Amino acid sequence: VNHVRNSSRNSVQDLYDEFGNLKSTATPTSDPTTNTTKWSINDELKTGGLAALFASLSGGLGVSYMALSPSRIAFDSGATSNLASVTSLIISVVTLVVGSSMVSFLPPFYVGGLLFYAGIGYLLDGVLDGIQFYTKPEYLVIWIIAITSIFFGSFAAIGIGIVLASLLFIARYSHSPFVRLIKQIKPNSDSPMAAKVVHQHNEDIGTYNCQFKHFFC
Amino acid sequence: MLWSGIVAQVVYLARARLPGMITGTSSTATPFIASAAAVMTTTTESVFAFMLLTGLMSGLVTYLCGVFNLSRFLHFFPLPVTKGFFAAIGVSMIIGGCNMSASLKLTTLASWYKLTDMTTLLQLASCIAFGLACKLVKSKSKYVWGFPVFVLLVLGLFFAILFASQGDLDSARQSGWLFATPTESTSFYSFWTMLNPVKVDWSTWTTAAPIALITLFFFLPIDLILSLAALEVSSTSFHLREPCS
Repeated sequence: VNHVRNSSRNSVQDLYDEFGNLKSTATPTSDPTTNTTKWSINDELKTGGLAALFASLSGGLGVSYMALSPSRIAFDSGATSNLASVTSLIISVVTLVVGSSMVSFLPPFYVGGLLFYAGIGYLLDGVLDGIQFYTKPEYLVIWIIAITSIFFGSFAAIGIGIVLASLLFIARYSHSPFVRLIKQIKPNSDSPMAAKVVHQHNEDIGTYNCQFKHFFC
Repeated sequence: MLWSGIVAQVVYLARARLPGMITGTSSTATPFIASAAAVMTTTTESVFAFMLLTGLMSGLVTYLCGVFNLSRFLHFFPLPVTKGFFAAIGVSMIIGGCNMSASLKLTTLASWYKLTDMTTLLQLASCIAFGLACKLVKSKSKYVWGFPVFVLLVLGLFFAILFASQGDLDSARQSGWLFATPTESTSFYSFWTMLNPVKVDWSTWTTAAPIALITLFFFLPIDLILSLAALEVSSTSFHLREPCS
């Protein structure tokens, strides 16, 4: 299991194609060869939405869904079942009932150190992983977003990131051909009417398999 | 907020197909909601009502984003921008960890003067050393249980050193080596008594609330999607599926 874990460690670079877009993954289910499972972002959005919805309906304050840093530490600790989630739930319930005095038995450097550790992972993933693939302006974008988050917070970083994403998107797509011919294929149709037309005008009809830009598929 | 996290955890346990997800109140959204509530509302009941309703509507919007397949817009996030967010998450966690370890606020100049104090410096150094050691153990350990054992071992070692040096918990709390004991004495269910619609000042909601809510609803699903993408990078056992159906 450990071998599989190490060999299948994700790289952000692996998630994108040569155009910088997220790759399509063919299988939406478990992959027994790599012991990995694919999950739908939409499903996770629905779960996160329901979690926040029910939390608020029951009188809870704030927006609650998946928390990144404890989840990462749970994943890094080898969590493959819901044991970590159940443990977290039990500790939270005990803290709620007994009181937050439980926290006073923890050293701040210890909790801070775990946060520091999770942060280093993301920082290295962000600025070092795949550094050879970037142009200088692209690498500058990474640092602009990171520095914005330090001084102006996450919301500002997301905002400036969306603006930069738009600019990079325009720049990248303006350099790619509008229509790319992949291959010419033979006319084919299951419709009898269309088949008749194809048969009559075979010389005049050209059918091509092309790749082109399309928004909001 | 703890209650909110508990309910969210139950929902994740019941519904999420990815094991090991831990929930909590969003550190991105909550300060924003709280500051907006403080500006827009006048009574405590109004603040509670505002936070409750924004949570409710944020949840609804995030859920609808999933239903209507809006995560496909993630396609238009270029790789450097996504990586920039990862770096931003990392930087905020590192600064947050350092701040927590020695009661600092490193983004202000005044906090840097506190580093001249030896105890503060030692606490900060312990945090950084522990964080780096965790990274080293995680990358070098051949066994899955190596990292959690190391994390627990350090906690045990801390208390062993504390008691071996004739120290007691109270003096450790006073010097900042343990979190201070909270002084609040209210019961955990007391916040439900604050939810009184009659005492809510609804008039202030019509002026500034729409802008705050639109901003929030726009950013929250993006925040969740980016968090999932960030988790995927660190995970060895799951991959996000193609968002475009």
